[in-house]
Amino acid sequence: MVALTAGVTLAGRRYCAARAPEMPAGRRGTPEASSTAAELDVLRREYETALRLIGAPPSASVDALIVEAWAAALADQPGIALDERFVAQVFTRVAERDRAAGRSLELPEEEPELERRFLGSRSRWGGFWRRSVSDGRHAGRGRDDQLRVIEDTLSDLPLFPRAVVVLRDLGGWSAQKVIALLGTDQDDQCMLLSRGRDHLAQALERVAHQGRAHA
Amino acid sequence: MPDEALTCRRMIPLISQFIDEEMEPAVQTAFEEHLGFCDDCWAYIEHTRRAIELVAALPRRTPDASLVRLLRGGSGA
Repeated sequence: MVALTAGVTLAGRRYCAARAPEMPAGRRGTPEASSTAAELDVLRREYETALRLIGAPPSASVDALIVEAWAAALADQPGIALDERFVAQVFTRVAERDRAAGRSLELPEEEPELERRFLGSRSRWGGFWRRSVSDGRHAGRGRDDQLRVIEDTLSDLPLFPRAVVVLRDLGGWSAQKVIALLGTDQDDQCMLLSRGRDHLAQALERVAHQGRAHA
Repeated sequence: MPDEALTCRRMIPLISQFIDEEMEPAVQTAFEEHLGFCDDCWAYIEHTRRAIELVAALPRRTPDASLVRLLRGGSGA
């Protein structure tokens, strides 16, 4: 079970937009003014990760969020690497945005779709696959279609599992860095990663099954 | 009938650990025993591996020039 809640757990941690530190005088109001070339390299490197966390195509509002997060990251604790500060600031803002919009940050504990994939306990084979997964293994669509399926499914995931998948599998972050960002523990990080990946694998399995059905 | 202790349903939350090679040895033994007779779980591991590979392969965008200028201070330099 996920024990964390963005904006609550985060408030007690080092990353919290609500207590974003005062910017140094030289950066106040114009955080971008003192972005060095090295700092901008960090931004370029983490930009895609930030966009996937935000979960929307580039737009003016996305740019505004990135500028705000970047400013806060520059002003935040210099003892922490800039990439972590930036991603944390983006994450915090997306959590606040989604909470304000009434979007859940987590997957529901009970997932009927997941349960439908397996035979019920009254069956002799309860808990085993309801339909063959291996039948559709080689019947998937082309790589571009699969990328689109993954992109859509990823952007539909709630923030917490999306963030863990994005940071681990796209950003290449270690489990420890993700745990520090979310203010969670190893078990929760594993569970979020597992459930997030499972949703992506389910989506691929569905299109593979459809491909076989239409073959 | 195969071992009921580890059903396909119970394999799902373990697949990620298996792929990342972070599984505890005792769990791994039972997990691999299940894989010994279950082609469907093997196939599902393949789907999961493919999903991880595709996430890593998603197109990488970079900030456009106007955003970089803004972050640099609007100098256009």
